[in-house]
Amino acid sequence: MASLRTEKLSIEIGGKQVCHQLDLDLQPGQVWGVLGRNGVGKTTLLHSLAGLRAVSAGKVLLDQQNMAQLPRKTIAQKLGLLLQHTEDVFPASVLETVVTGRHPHIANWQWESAADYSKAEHALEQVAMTALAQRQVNTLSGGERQRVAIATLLTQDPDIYLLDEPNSHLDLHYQISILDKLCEFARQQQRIVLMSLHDINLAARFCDHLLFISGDGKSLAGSADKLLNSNDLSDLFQHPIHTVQTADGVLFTPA
Amino acid sequence: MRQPLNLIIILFLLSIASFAFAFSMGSIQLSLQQLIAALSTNESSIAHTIIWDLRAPRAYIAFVSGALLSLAGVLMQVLLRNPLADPYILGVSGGAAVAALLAMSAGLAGSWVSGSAFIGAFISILLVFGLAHGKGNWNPARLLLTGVVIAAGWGALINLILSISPDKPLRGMLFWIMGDIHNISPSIASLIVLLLGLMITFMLARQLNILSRGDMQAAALGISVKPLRMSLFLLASALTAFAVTQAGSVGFVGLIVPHMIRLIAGSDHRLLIPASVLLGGSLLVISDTLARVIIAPQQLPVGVITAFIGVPFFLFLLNRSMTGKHHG
Repeated sequence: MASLRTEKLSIEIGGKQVCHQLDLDLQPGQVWGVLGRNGVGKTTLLHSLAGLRAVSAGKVLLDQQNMAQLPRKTIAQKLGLLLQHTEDVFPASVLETVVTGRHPHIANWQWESAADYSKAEHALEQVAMTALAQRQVNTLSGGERQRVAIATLLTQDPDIYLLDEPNSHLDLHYQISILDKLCEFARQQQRIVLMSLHDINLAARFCDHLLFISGDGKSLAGSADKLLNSNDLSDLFQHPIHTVQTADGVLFTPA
Repeated sequence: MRQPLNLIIILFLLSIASFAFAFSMGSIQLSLQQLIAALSTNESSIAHTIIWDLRAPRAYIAFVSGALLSLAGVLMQVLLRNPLADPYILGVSGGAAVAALLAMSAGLAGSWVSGSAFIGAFISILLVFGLAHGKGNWNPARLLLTGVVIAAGWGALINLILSISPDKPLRGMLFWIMGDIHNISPSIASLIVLLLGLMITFMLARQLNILSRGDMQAAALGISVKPLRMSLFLLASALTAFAVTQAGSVGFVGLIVPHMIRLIAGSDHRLLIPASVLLGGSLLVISDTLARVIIAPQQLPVGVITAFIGVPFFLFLLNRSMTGKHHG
């Protein structure tokens, strides 16, 4: 299984420092959450970790290899990214869209095999979209589109999953059930998940490691147990956050 | 996979039918028997001469031009991720037209005009490529704006040339702008370009499917977006340049044919590309045949006919797919 590390990684966007000399070491089986306020650069960080954006300094290492020097196709065989937006100007069915996830695994002149289609169908099952497989994507609701995007990523079947706000547009039921499946899968199959989230309680529920981005180049990385306390969280969000003891464990609420 | 193959077979038969139509229609009408007789023997009869010397070269040029334009239209629409894109949107035909009109006003004709058109097209391609490339960032919006503005500039130059031109060459100029297939000798070059373009784009088809979902998504799925976009631009422009050089700026085909196929069969480029080529070619052969027979002996510009056939057909397809969606 592939590993993902950063070495003294610095990222800047529009004169703003997203992170400065960040060292991260993501190991197979770990689920990471990225937390931070609006506009601190969570998306930029994810794009950089996926090799889609040049970094200011330092390196992103995929299996010990500098990602800046790897061909896109090699990266996409090991690392998948859930984007916040995809476009659908031209009509395409749900199944057609999801099976595009196989692209990095097939030679350019080859067609998708029956095995590729069954992978796509399995992914649609995971996000409860089987019944809509023949529908046109541009007739779907926001939440359904998000599930199509997640199914595409599952069909890509990478070792490393970078998810930019996987919960956007999803209703409560799918927020829990999809993250449940994905995180359990990652831990069992030794995959890596790193996702940006806005909900602290979801991060506490699913992540074993966290990365806090504060927007001035400072960041905190470590185990969730260590970072989930009202002091660090209040600092991060610049808003007082209290902990509440409940029968289901500790919950975090804004004051 | 059965349905897509059926569509290709139907369109292939349509292409053959369009050639039969072109071969038999004209000042001397040939019946199907006469047509088959003339095509199956090698002896020189009047029918044989009419077909091979007059009608076949013209039908061939029409088919190749329509096919080139449709393929270019498919590529431009993905490249700019814009359903309104057509082969001329980035100014290739404008550059060609300015050069062709200048040649005509200098009293030149025939291959001099098409040669100038070809040079004009390539000047425009290089201009847009250089300007849109800018500081490395090659996004659809910037390319589109650069191309549209260059096209507008060519449009102004065309109007200038037309307005100061004496009456004598003016009619020829207007026909050239509206798209016109006559007085040109068929060349093998554009067929080779078409076949090469078809082969290359068919190999790229799966990447095009993904590129139409956004540059980021394409990159995330392992596509090197920048080289792909550049080759699409150059390829689409070259196809357009060859089409415009031999048939003038025939409107409508490159915009509408890809959409017709999308409405019938969806957006998978592995089907869209060959199907558009066959439909675009047939449409232009039929249109050009009508252009020369409707008010014979006078000829109409073929671009006028393409629109007359294409507009109602397209609206019918669009309407059918809309009502289909409501019931489905």
